[in-house]
Amino acid sequence: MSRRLTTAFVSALTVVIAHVGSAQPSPATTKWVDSVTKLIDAGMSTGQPSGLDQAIALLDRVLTVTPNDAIMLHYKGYALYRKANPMMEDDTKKSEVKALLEAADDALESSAKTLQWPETHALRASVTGQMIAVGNPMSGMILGPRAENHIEKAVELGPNNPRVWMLKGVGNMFKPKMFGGGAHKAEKELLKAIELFANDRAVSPAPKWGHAESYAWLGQAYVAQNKFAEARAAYQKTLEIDPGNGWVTYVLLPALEKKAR
Amino acid sequence: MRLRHLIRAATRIRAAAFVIVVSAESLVAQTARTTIRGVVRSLAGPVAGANVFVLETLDGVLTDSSGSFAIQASAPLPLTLYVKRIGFVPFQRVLTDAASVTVTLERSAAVLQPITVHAGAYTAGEERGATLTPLEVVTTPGTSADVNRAIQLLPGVQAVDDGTALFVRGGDFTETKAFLNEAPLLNPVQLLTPSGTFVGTVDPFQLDGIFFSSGGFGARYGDALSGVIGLRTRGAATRSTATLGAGLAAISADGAARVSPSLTLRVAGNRFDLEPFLRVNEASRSFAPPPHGREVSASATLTYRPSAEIKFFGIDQTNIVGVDLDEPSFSGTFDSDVASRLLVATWRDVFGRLAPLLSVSEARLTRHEHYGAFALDAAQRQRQLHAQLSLEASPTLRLRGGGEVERLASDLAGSLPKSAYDQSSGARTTLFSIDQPGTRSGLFVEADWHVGGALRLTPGIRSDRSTLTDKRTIDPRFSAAWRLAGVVTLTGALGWYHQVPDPMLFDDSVGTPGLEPMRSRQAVVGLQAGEGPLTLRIEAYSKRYDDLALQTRDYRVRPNARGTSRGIDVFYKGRLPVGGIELRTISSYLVARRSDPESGAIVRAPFDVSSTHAIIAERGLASGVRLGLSYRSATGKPYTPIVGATYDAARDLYVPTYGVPMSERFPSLRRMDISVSRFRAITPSLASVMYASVSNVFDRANVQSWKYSRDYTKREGNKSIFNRAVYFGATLIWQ
Repeated sequence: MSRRLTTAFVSALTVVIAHVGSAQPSPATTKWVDSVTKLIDAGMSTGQPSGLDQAIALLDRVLTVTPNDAIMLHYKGYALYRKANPMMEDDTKKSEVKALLEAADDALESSAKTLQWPETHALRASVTGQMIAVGNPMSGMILGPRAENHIEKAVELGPNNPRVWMLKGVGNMFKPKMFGGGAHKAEKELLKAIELFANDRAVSPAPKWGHAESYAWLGQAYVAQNKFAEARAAYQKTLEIDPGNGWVTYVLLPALEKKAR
Repeated sequence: MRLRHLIRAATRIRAAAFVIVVSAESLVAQTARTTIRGVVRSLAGPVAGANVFVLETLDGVLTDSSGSFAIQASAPLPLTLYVKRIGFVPFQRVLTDAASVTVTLERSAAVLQPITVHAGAYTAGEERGATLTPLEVVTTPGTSADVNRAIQLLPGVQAVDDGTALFVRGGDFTETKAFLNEAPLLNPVQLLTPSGTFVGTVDPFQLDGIFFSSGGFGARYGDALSGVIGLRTRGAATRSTATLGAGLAAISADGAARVSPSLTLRVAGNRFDLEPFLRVNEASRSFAPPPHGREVSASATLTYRPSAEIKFFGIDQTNIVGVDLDEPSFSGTFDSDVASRLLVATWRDVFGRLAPLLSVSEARLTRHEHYGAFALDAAQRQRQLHAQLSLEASPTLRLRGGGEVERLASDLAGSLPKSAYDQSSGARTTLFSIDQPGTRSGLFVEADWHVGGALRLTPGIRSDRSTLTDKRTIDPRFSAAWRLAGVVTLTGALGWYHQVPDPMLFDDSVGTPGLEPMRSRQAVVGLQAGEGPLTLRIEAYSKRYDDLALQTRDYRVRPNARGTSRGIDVFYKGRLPVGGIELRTISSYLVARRSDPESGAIVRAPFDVSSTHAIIAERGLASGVRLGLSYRSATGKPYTPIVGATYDAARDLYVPTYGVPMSERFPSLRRMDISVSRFRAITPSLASVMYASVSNVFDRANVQSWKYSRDYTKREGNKSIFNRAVYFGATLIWQ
């Protein structure tokens, strides 16, 4: 009986030990992460999926050799999530989006078993939230609390992580007010994220993304509250940090001008 | 002039040096860089979007719409080309020249399964749809990391005693079969004592997947009447690891060596002795000797290509215990000495649409048990050959067929008391010496059909024949899962099941030759909402048993016994909205009836535990601390009361008079367990963990048997062997 107790805790720790191993990533991991993030950034900036496909393919290659690399699994989930994002509006691609989100969730879940990055849990919350959007309306009953659990875990692990607060704010943008969401709440959380970005000194391979994006989301929170001047200022701030940001230049600013007219 | 000449000369030298450097660099580049061109196809045409890369450098590209690719590799030949695409078996080839490569991909037999829920089935693994993760299985408070104890906390398993046996949905524990790497285990429980079973099957640390079916399982599994456990040992390792552990009653060590990318060797051993544990904690019974034993296992996993695996696994276990018992007719020690060994080799691969699996195993078990007039010396050897073939007939239809031949040789000798009430050493006994070999062969076919993405149908049929019963049985089985909404799935299963009675029961000295195969019919309907970390599952079932072979109190056999069981199981797993507490709750309600072996009347089954409830809460805290708590309660099991006794002067003992069969129940069972552990990283590759637990926190007696006075006029409850007990230890892990 008692020998089983020993093995119980040993088993528990095999999960944790990989985290120890990943606490000091190898230079090779950092190199791959840098390559991947460049491809993702390029894909997002141009709005073309090919950059994201290249990033996912590169991650797949690395994971073929080191299938349990928690850092690469995190970035695989992140890349798949980014690929799914622009396809959300296209009803004809619902099943493809769903498959991407499920694959993203699988990768992030595997990563979270050994790597306690707050962003991993925050991304899982966003992925789960998007699954509600592309799934059956009833799925919200199950997936809603699940997304809540993920974001709570993310905040628990990274109370001062700007990306966690940004994704929390984004989640609340899409959550109905009657369930505790809404643009006003999102605005507060996005402002907190922006404040935290000022002191964000993340070093690769840790996630570094989100600074410019947080202003773009803040702008949308303002638009939802008809605060058009504030929205315009927020979008301009995005362009200051990321000149030529395609999303703001070609999508959000024109939409703002149209609505403000 | 001279200056200009010098400048010109210097410039010429610099230019020449530049040319030399550039030429050298380009020469190096030419020798180090390799261009690999080719095309990727399948039987259906070019494959676009395939990930083609060099394994050594990870240089690669995605194929274009014509399946073509060109890779600039940053290393010279020879290089390993690797091609991946979802839905196809990965391709790998060593390239020794720069000729254009044509790659033909084979479709993978593994179909993505949108519905993973099966009626009655629970899995522990990392795959999507798993009910529990392996971590949850082994860290559940109060389970002592025993696989069987963890399964006892799944719906459909009744808490009949505080042992490790699995009484599933109104069935006896002998009606649930355990398989390890497709090989049947001769001893799904290790130590069998009158107060329950001690140790489960296999060290969970050696496992990476657990499947448990409480009913309605498919045609793959034969010779099991109530439930099935499927255990899968760990395979290839991603890196070499080692652990060393010591606790109040056990020491253990294991290691995994990744000898090459395709070969992993594992070895594990542990030794346990409850003697120091019993010194720290008060025991409700006396042990002489205290439970002790050892377990040694080793495995080799060869992954000779990505879709293939050959695995050898061997395990050797010994368990010894002596328990002091006090019966009206005899007081003494129940001695049990059990040794078992299992060797199993499995091979699986994928060839296009075909996926074969082959398993060969040999299990040996020796058991010596003595108590008063009772003696059993058993040696059993079981050999099995199991083969199956899976065919992906279409992306939505998979067909599977196979079978097994199993030979069980049982050499049993000993003595049984003529009357259960006289266990004394001088009691009249029946001597037996049984050499009873039996061969069972079985065949099955099964289809797994995904209809339109929302419906999954699994019809199947199996047929078995045993030389012991000399009867052929035919069992049709069917299960279905229908996804109503995104996360809500309706399930159902209907099937017939047969099991050969214990070989000992066929011998004319202590049994009845010509017994029929025991039969059950199971019907299950259920609903599951969610999966993984947030799951709600409700199942209702109805079972009917026929041709059961039951033993009377005096060890005689009642053939053709019958029974029924009906019940509802509820399982919830989720995270509380506040506090980050992970919660599991299990509730099972059961009405089970069986023939009384003495009278033949249909009465409550001995495992008719009307309700079983369990709550497990776990919480991870900062700085690597993890807390766990479990609480279990269950209705007491039924028993036949003793209402009087008459004195037998010739034998100088009292003969009990029994009341209405199964008319009374033992007091209900309640138990709370807590555990805490702390993980600490010492270096990036070395970590330690310290842990402690308290079992049966409130020290509840949990009576499950009576101790009678010599004349049966007085009785007192035998306390559970699980008094309040403290356990602690530490482990070092290197990885």
